[in-house]
Amino acid sequence: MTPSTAAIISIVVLIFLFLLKMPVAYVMALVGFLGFIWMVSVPAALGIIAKGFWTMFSSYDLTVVPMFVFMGAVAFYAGMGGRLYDTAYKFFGQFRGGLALATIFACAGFGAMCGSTNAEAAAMGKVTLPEMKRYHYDDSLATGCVASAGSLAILIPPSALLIIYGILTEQSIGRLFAAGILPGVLLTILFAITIYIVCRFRPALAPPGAKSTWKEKLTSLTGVVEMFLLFALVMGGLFVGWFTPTEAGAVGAAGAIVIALARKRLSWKAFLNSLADTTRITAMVFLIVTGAIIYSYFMAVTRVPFELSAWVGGLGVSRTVIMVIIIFGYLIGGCFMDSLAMVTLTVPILFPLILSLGYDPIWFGIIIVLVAEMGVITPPVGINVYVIKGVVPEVPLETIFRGIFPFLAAIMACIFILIAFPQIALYLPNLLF
Amino acid sequence: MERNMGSNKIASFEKLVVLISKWSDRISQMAVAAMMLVTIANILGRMVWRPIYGTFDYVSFFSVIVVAFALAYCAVQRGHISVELIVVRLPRRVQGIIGCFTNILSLGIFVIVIWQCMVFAERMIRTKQVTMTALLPFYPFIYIIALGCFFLCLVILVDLIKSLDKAVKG
Repeated sequence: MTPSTAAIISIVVLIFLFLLKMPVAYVMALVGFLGFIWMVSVPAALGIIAKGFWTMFSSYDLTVVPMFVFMGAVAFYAGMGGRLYDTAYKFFGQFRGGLALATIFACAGFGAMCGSTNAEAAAMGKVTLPEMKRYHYDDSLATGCVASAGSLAILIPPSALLIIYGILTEQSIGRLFAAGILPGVLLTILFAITIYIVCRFRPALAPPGAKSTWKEKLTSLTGVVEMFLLFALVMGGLFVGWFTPTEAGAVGAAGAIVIALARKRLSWKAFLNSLADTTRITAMVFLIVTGAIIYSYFMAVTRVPFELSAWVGGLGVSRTVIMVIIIFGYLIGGCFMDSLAMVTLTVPILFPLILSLGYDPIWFGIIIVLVAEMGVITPPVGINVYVIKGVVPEVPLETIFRGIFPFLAAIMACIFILIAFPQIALYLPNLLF
Repeated sequence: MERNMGSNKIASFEKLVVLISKWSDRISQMAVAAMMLVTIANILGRMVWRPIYGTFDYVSFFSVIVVAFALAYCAVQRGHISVELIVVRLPRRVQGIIGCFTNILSLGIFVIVIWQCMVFAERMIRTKQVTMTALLPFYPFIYIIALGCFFLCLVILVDLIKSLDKAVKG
């Protein structure tokens, strides 16, 4: 059997076991291990198991995950999403579609504290949906808006997905975080434009909310100012080199705790809940990355990633066409698979191809995040949609899925803008590092 | 009657496993807090006086504790990502049979992980390997990974027993 056949068989086995509901991390470790036995030898395969688990579990680089997850969890339990929404509401609530706009901006703000889309969708869904309901917003628009905007969490730093991409491809986490900022702003604006267009054509979907005076608007800012200061300290410190990514995460977590305590918003129980969320997500992320690493050891000995890149390179097709095909593949894959699992599985295979096509690895990280954002909202397994369904059980799933389509178009537009103007992602990292 | 006693035993075994994984998760939570505190102390230390020697090693080792001890409870909460799309639509008995199959595979891979971690740790003891700065020995932390995976195996075993039950009774 040729190495490429072994690689293809491994992918078939992988997908088969995924469909049998075996956890993705276990499957990747198992198939990687068996593949290594097939390609090399039993002792070598046994060797990569211990090596994979030890190097990943004790990796200093990966400790950035629990720290930023902890920061997000504290922000979640301390109700910081609610305060951001209050402020955004005071500024935009009175306009037609204003509550939806406020939701988008509050989500963008909360994305600067939180790096996981489902946590953000849950946090913001609980806060924004009752309000939109009160003003008779269309269910579809309201739920679609918060499910989609929740995905901003993984684009605007900190971002769990960018960290994992950085570890898998050995890229600087700081550069990746810096690269996420402008595309995050761009996507926020595109989401806002989407709402404007929807309201323009169907004003009944999103009636205006309560008016607030300028005094109220300005006082509401005091509720969020410390969060932006914390974000500036954490990201600024990371960008100018005061902190390693892990240190930035630790400062963020400690800062979030201090802010929450000062505002008397963090009970002992909420603190313990944030710790519990942190360990659960950390275990999930580390195990899936470990599985992906073991599988990628096997993939590397088959040399398929390199052959794939040589083969595609020899086709003589324009690289933009190849990129569009890759993105389309992710869009389809994202419908059926968890985005995190899909990224950890595919990035080691595709990465040599991306480099050989001459794309910037940092830029591709941002594209991966955007396709993952589509993955978390597309049917049938868009995780954010299920999170929102958990918040408003009375709204049918179909209604929520119908609501995400305009926003899906906005994410696609964002991807195409980034393909045409990669500088949007690369300007800040090149300026700062 | 016998069957009832059997299912009682299974229920108490499950309770025990959940309890173990919960407590191990608590250790993991403490390690998260410790990781944050050591990191902050190191930053403050280097600002005012001098950094804490070996922070890098301590944080890496806390990371081992965080992850290894959280694996099992994460599995109890179904926190490890899986694709549920197809299996949930199948009849109970088929779900049970599939569950037996995948749980045996899962047990298999984690038993190998435990075994290999033990082998690796023994090698580290023999060669007296320690970290570069804090001079901590590696092996206790490799045993911790093995222990964490052992707890995870217990959770998988409970799942296997339940799947068997589903497969037999439908």
